[in-house]
Amino acid sequence: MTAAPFAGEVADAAAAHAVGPEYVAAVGKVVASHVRNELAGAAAFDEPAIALAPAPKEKWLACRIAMEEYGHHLKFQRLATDLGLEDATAGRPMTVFDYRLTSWVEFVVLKALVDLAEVVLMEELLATSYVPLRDLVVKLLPEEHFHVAFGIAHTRDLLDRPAQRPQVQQAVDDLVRLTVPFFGRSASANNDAFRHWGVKHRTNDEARAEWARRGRAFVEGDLGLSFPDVDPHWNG
Amino acid sequence: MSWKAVDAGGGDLGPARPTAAAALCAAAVVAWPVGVAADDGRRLDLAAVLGAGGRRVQDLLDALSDGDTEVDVESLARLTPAGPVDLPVDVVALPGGVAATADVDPVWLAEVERRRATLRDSVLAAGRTEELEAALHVAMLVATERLDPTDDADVDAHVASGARLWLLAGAVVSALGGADSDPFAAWAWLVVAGWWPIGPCRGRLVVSAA
Repeated sequence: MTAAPFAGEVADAAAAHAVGPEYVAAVGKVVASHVRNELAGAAAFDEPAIALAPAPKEKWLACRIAMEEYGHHLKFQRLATDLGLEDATAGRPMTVFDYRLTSWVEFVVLKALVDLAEVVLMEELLATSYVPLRDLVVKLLPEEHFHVAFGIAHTRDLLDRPAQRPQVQQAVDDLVRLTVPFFGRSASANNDAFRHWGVKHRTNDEARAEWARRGRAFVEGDLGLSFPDVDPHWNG
Repeated sequence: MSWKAVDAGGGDLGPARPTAAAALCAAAVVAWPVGVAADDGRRLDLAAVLGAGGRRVQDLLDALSDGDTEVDVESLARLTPAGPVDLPVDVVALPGGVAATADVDPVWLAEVERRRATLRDSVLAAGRTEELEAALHVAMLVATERLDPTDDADVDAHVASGARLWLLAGAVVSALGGADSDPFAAWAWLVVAGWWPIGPCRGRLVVSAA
């Protein structure tokens, strides 16, 4: 890795390879994480939610969301192929995808909080040095914002029935705990490389803190529930 | 022998795979028509890769892509995926359609789900898992783009789009199931013609302009 941070823009895959293998590796890791996580999210959460929906309207909204998430996986996969990544689906998705969805309550809280984490990570890529990744994120973010807005609106609806407050609070507690590692460790050589090459600009802790700030504003300020303490510093 | 998904001009859409169906599943971009090419130069269209029922899937996606299919809404609407329904057909605007979803007959909807699951099980039992995955992958890849809500914040448009995708996925399963009287066919043609058939709601059969 060169000493001075990279400050340029990289127009396409050929230009990325011209910058060098370290740049391709850095962009490739970010792209591959989205390839895996969009697919894992669609398979673990969105598709099962279609069957958990309480009414036709919710079922069909969940269907649209599932298809959009799967589409995001494919679009990131295309970026990975263009970059020449061997197999972007290899490797383990993040631990939050180990969560076993069992109820509609869990699904809507998940869309409000876990998809918010995805939004925080994607928003940072609006300033990435790799232009194809930036262009893709510009296209995908409106759909991701819709998914979060869906989660927020339907979580609010659930709280119209006070009896559901404990279940919503439990989902918040479980999902916040599982989402903390989503941003990576505080001491991260990968994140150092991402920032050196201008692929990302925030540390993992800064991204985690931003997610916690926005999540807390929704859970405590909007819902009147409690948001668990989140230490932005996390090393597993 | 290996296969790649290709577009109409023969351009690669994905990586090489050992079977034609697996190559379609690996295609990561939207292109219609889509086919496969073998490394010995052979070319197959989607229908040929899918086998029995594949032509029905290809015809539906052709019509969806053309976007100018005309249909007899009233007669097709009564041939619901849960069987014929003899109710007055009520064609409503999108907001009225979304409002009607709250009144969809749950027994009717459960029967649609049951038939869809039975058809899926029969396709899988016939050892056609790979073909089913390829058909759904291609159909949803094409349809998710074609049925994309214009406004990313429009909830009603997302409900209609999701419902139409759900019906199309059912139609793909049903087509591969190969039944002579395909229960999803009539509503699939409504969907590709730009309609959203919703179901029996309080004594009327509601169809919305999507």
